[in-house]
Amino acid sequence: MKSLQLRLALALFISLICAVSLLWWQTKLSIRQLAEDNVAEHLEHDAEAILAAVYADSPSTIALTDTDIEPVYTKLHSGQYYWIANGKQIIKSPSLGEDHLAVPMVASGSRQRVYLTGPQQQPLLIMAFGYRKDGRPVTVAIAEDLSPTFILIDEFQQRFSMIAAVLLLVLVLVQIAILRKSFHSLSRLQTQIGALERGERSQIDTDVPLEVSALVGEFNRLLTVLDQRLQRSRNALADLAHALKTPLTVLQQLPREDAFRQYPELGEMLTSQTANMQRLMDRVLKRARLAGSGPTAAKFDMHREIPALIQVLKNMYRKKNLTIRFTAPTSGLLSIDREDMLELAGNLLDNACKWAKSTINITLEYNQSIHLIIEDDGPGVEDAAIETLMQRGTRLDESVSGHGLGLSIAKLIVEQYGGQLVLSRSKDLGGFCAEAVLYTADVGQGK
Amino acid sequence: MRILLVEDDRDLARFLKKDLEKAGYAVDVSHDGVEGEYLGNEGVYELAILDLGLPQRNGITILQNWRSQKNHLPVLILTARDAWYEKVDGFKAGADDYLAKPFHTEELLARINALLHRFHQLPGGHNLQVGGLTLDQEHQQVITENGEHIDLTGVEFKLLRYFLLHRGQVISKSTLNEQLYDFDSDKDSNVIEVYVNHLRRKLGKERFETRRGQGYVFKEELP
Repeated sequence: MKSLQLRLALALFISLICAVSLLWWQTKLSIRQLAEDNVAEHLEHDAEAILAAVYADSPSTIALTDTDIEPVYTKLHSGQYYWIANGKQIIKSPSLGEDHLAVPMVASGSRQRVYLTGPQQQPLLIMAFGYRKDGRPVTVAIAEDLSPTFILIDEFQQRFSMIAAVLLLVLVLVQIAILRKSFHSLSRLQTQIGALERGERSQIDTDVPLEVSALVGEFNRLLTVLDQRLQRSRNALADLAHALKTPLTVLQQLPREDAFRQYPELGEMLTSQTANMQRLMDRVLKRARLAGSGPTAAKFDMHREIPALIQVLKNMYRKKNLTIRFTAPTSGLLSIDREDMLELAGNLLDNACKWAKSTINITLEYNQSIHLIIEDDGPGVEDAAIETLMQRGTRLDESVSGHGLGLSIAKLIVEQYGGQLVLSRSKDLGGFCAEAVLYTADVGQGK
Repeated sequence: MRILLVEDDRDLARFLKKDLEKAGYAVDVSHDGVEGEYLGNEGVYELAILDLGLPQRNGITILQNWRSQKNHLPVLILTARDAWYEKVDGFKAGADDYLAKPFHTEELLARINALLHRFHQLPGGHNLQVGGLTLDQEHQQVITENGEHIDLTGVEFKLLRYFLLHRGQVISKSTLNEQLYDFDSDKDSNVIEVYVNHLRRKLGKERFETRRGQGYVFKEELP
């Protein structure tokens, strides 16, 4: 799964690099162009001054009046050169010394820009102009060494590159900040979904960007619908149970009526069928009522609920005068549905109470998962019988009183939470030991 | 022994009333929560059988209201809601016992018996045993210390059971009247005298002491 933030950051970074590079490159070209144009203009002025100093000293030759020539043209390899061509005759500046410039003849009225390597490897920009002087075509070429200009350009470029780099860095940082800020509401959404899974919230805040608000709204609606549906189906099932069980009780009373006593086989049939109905109903209803793992808003406070449950069982098994010991970590909030947890513990404890002689131990532990261990000092179950016990309860009509029904409901609950029910012999008490392992989104949060 | 039955299903209530009366209890039935709560505060009942899903007022609320008013009437919850959390909530609200529907009448009677024995600090067990007398609830007989079985009529049985449970207490004729008959029956306190005399004839005069103007006291230990 790709991170949207990373993808956006990458795309923005690349486009920034492209934009800054293009700008940098364009500036570099323009600066050089400007500098050269400037030099060229200056060369044109010089060319005109030199042309003015050219005169025809004979019908076929020309000469140059030295007086108006700038001194830089006389200093050897000064970087400023002129080159005047009149047919075969060449007049070159003293600064050129023995060197030559391979300047082509230029038709009068036109100009040409030429790049050549001059004396001492100087990069020269040469402007050659075609003139007509006293009816003769004359080419005046002025050359200038570009290296001082190049040094200036380089300096400028260094400065500019640095500014561009800093600008790029600042822009990237600004973009990261903008992205962080925009994605902050999304990461809050992420933490809220986590909290939802742990059962710390029941809804997600709707204070989110427009782009995801529809999604969040729909999500919240679904959560509400889910919650309502669970509540509705639980209520409907409880109502159904209530509605069915009372008539069933009435039906069970019928065989005791005098009219029925005359037909005992009818009475027996009614009794066995109603008992059957009752068993089926119990199982189906219990299974349907299970919430299973998922967003649970309620927390299970084991130090309040389990002792209350123990009290209920002590009441129910008052005659046996059982000792029921409860061991659990001091911090005791479990994120598990209260009804499911009580149903699980109640069924296992009821089973233990049925068989225990005097003592029952309940242990609740949690780390990655919830472990509920209930042991008794009753007769226990042989290893071979444990196999059959574990397999029991896979079918509706197989529930048997005794160890069976309670265990099969416990197994159903455990399976809802992706866990397992392990049956064995208790090491401490010698009787039956049932260990239920349950997995929830986030097991416990004590502190 | 008068019992309050708060149950909204009329068929079931009728059956239960009949079975309970057969077992020697006077039964008043209420079909809704508000009336049921009111009756439970009347102070004439020895025990209440309370359904949870009641019209107008939920059984748990009724129970909580009773307990908050220091009404310690023994309450047996009789409900179709048999999930463990509901049992826990029921006991938390102050129930003394909890029986899930559907149930058998024998089970209900045994629970009522156990609850009454417990409430009156008597040992558990099916039969009531006080001062050497054993009340055989099934055969409506009383067995004396000598092992003699004495048959009792319906009213004698009810009367003796009440005396045994309230041993050593002064019981007025009107109380006995209240306990013997439900509110639909005609009451005549002179009849009580006749029945007490029957019991005296069967069990010995000294067992039932008359306190003039107050009533009777059942003597657990004979002088």
